[in-house]
Amino acid sequence: MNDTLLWTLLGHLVCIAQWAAFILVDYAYLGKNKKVRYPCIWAAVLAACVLFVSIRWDLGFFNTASIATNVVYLLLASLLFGGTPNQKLTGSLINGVMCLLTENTVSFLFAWFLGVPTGSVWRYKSCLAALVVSILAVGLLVAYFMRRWNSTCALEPLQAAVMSFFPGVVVALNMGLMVSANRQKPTLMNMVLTVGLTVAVLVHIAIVQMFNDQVVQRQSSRFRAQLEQQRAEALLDSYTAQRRLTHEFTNHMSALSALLNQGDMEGARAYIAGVSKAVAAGTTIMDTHNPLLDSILSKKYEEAAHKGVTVYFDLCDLKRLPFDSTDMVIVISNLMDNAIRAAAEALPPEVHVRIRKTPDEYLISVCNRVQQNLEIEDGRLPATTKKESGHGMGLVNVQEILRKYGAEYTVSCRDCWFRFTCSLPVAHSTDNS
Amino acid sequence: MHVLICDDDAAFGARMADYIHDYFEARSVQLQTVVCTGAAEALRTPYLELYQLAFLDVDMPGTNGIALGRELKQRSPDIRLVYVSAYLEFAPEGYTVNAYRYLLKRDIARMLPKCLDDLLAAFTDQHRTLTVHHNRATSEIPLYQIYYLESALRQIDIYGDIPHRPICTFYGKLAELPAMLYENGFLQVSRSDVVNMSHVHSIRNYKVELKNGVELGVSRQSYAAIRNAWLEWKGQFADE
Repeated sequence: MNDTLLWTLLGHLVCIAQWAAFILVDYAYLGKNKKVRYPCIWAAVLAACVLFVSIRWDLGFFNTASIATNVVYLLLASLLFGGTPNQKLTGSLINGVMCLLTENTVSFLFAWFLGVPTGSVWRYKSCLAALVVSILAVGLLVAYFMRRWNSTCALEPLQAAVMSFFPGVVVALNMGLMVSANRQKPTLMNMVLTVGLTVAVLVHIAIVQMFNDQVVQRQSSRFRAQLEQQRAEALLDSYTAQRRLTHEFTNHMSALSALLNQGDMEGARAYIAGVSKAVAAGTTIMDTHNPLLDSILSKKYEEAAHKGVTVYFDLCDLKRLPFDSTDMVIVISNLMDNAIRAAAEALPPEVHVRIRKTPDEYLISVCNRVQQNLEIEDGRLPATTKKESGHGMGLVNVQEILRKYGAEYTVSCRDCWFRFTCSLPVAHSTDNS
Repeated sequence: MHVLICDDDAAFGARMADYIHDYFEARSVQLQTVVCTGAAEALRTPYLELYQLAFLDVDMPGTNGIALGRELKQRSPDIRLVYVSAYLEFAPEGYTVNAYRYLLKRDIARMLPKCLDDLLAAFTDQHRTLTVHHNRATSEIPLYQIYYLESALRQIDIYGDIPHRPICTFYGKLAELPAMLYENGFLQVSRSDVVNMSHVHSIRNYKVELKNGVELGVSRQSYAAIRNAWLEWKGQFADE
């Protein structure tokens, strides 16, 4: 194999590694596109086309033409994945920053160690091999963090924009360094600056991650506090109703003894039947043999009625529903709140709650009217149903709890009906109870 | 239409009867209504098997509404039960009556009109059939009798509760089946099979097991979507 061919192969290997890293990051950050079935495969096909163009017209490496080709590839590839246009642009920027920082750090380190100009390090096979390995490793790492970031991002758009300012400055400085020191041997200062800037970006990312974790923690605490308040209110309502009934109890006893003293057995029986109904209706509106669930559902029923939403219940004996009390409040309250909120804006405003037990599973179904059909991806719950800031913990928590109990769930939206259905294994309940 | 109303509060029962009568009369539906104040009286009603709709109170002296509902279902399996009560009690054996709806007495004015609208639509929709043309003859096959449809070459075999013995065969393709089937609980599980979800026992390991023991393969590509569709169907219709 002659040197020119080897150089071409190695050079293109770097390109292939870069494109693979771009695809990884795009897939992790943007996810699937509804219109493109296999985005990764199509992105690889696009990469193959770019590779063909590069070889056919000998575009070369590490020059303006190859950078332009990469930028075009980045933008086109992002179109194959999901996300909004803003997210696609952000994904392309992340890839650009990742590529630039990795290349500069590797080239400056090599140039400094070998004592050659930075522009000529690409003639060393070891440098190209190191670049291939580093770009793939960095791509994997960034993809992992982007995936994690996607599931727990709690920053508001303005906060995220401010946070991305620093990497932007670093990119500008890096480009300055790359252009100014291209034909010279890098000084110690240049090398330290490049590596320092890369480290600074990594530290910055870690700080942003910690800040994000704090925001998530704060939102979670606030959500738990709201939940506890709901539980307390539900119990207080029951307690107040109970006190009222206890207060009435002496009056009922007097009336009953008067009827019995008169020998009016039929009257006494009728009176007891009437009181029994009043007692039942006075505490909660339903009895599923699960007092906490009854309190929550009764409370949600009242809230819904207040908003003009009709809730239909079709339940069964739920004494052994396998959720512990906190998890039950989180799941049921969130599902009911979301359903009632959406139904309140739709016509007719209706929510149907159905829980059934089969020998293997509990089936929970919450259906509500929506104003217009929502786009649902792969039958999964969206991370949030609200666009305002400071919300969105609810459905994330529901998903976590369902995962904890080994439950399977699906959501769909057709004909202006949003349907959440979940299957909760019964076996788990036996262990828990 | 025959409607039974059973509530120990006679005045409430009479008000319900008036409202229901007015509702159906306005829609030109002939109606015969009977109001009872107890389960025993309700069960003595002549021609009980003709009744299509019953509004029952849950908490009644003697036999409660759930037990009455169960008895009514035995006499008239297609009867639709609507429980109207001051208090929604979901008894351990409540699922056996498969109630159409539970309504609270205090909200009856708000909930009854919509309930009657839905009931009327449900009565219109029931007894759906698949029309099959074969050998210059046309047959109507009730959907509940169909376990699955299987396509082979240009023919479609319709299978019922007896495994592997088609109840009917006709020329056609699965792609040409009416959309009505899919709106009524049928699901395509592979290129050649469409199953009636009400007869599915389980979907696991890329196989559908029907209640009559027949096993069919499930498309690997659409497996997750098929499981989701079945889960959703179970959530809405499955019972003990």
